[in-house]
Amino acid sequence: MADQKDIGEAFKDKLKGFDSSPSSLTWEDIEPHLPKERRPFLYWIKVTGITLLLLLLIFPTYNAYKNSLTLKTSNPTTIENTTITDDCEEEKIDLEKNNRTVIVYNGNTKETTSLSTPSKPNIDAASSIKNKQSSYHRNSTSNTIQSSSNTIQSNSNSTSSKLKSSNTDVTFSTSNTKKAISIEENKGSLVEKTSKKHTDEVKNNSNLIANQNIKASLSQTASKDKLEHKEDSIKAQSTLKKDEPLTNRKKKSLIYMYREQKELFQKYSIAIHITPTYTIPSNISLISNLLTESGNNAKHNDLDRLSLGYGIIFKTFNTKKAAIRIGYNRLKINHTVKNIRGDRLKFALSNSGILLSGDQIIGNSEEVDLIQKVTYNEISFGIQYQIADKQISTSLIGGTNFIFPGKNSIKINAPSNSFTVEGSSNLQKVGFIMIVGSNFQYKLSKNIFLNVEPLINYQINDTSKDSEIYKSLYFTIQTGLSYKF
Amino acid sequence: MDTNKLIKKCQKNNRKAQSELFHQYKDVLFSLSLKYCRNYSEAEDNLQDSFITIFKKINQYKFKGSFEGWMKRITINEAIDKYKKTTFLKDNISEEKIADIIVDPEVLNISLDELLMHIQELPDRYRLVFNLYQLDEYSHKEIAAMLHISEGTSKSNLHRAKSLLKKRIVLNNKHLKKAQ
Repeated sequence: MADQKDIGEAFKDKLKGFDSSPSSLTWEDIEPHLPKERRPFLYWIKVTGITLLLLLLIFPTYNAYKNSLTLKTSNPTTIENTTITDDCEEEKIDLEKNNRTVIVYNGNTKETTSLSTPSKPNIDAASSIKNKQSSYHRNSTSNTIQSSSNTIQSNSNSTSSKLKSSNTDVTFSTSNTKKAISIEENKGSLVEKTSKKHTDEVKNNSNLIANQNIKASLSQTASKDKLEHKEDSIKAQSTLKKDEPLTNRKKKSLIYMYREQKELFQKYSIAIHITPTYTIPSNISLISNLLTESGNNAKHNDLDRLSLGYGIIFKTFNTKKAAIRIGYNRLKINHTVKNIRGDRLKFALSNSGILLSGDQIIGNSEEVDLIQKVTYNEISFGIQYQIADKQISTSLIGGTNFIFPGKNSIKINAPSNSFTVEGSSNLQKVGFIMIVGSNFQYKLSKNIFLNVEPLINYQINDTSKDSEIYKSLYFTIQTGLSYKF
Repeated sequence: MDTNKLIKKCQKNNRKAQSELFHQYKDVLFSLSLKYCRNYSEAEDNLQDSFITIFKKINQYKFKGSFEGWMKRITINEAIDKYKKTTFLKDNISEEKIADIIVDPEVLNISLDELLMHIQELPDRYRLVFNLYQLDEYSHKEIAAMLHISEGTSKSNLHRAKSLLKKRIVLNNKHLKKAQ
């Protein structure tokens, strides 16, 4: 009889070298269940898609900004739809239908109305100016008008003067009649704005006065000598006007032209901030599902859940209140699990391919705290809408973030030992995060603002490939300065 | 192909490499599965699930330690997951009573298939503990952590597994002798 042996040992010896092959299981049974093969072109499709999306977001805003720039530069020289009377209370009414312009002049002693029937080229030229939206030089217009009125005062029979526009030189000429130049930018609004109040009475008066003046002008057919004399006097006066300071000339102008008051706002904003982050407590580990069942009796130290990140945000304002936000953040998020039994933690770590070195000893019965620190690169897309514009402006924010995990490390705090090990590699490569929050903005100077943005971030997909229940939830307060331009 | 290169290709979900890895290790892992499962078909199911998990988690392997050991751990975990609903007897036998159960090695002069059959016929809870402790050399602490039981329960389940095996083998031998 051979020596007696423990049955376990005997089985072990016998089964050493035991080998068997599966008969029915083949590679074809496994292959359909495996993750799809990576295809590089899919990656480029994604990159192109994201780039196109960004361009779609940026281009309309850029165009809007470009248009506003054009408006800005053209406004100072563009004559717009307002006509205001001078000290001498002159009112200008355009009688469009008859191609006639009447100026009612209420001077101290004189009250003149002139009726003009401009020759065809003049009308064409005037309309071409309108159509091309070329800008009039206010001075030259004023001068022209001034000189015309002077002509009227001196009862000239014909005048000619040049009205310069940026694109064309237009010559207005009249003969045998008194002349007034009407400059119209917006016919409808001009007539409405300037003459609504007085149209009826002025029309009546003007008809009367016009008739009288036609008679008067007909009787005042001048000789050639007189004409030359008048031209000389106009030229002399024009030269004098040119030498006059602009402010004086403005005052003496018969017509003031004001640009339309369009509300302007700063189109772009760039902000840098720091991001204190608080991870909303959860007792689930990213490392393994095996750790989720651990007890949770001890007090949590909330400092473990706090971390600090930083970032930059670029905003384009479509209106004064609404803006599109694109940003980058570098965040550090801590995932903490408390009171794990040492033996369970060791097993979970080795199961995830994380091996402890000789000096990293944890007692099996010890209760261990595990803090996994993960650095994320976050790309954010969002919109914000201003709801209050007081001393502190308030806006609502909503959007989506894409987070890409970077380095991660695991800190293990056992009563007997504390150490850090390399992190797990089972984190999702891309996380999709929904954000909601608000923006509080305080104006420090014309362009510089202080921003505080409390935001709630919730990850839509699972944070870890192995912990299928855990979706990150964290609270950030982005605090920093922004520059608007 | 070098194993490390093969692993790296598998990490990129290269189908050829995955197929090669499967054919390279399927026998080793199937033998392991046979010990932990109740029968041949369950072992094949376990092997299939294990390979799917291996290829899904292969990025987590950091080239530290044995790759075969890492795959074996996954195979064992799959088997544990399959049978973990089993209730383990919490009757802690006192240490004094847990003595080695000895047998005459001649009694075990039976085919490997028969030996394996005896293990497979053990109740799930006993089979898992017996395999983990006796064949794969896990400690009772580790088994306790893996199966979420106490060390005492692990020890007592091992003791009962051995007793049961001895009874069956001895009985089997008697039947064989009678038949002869």
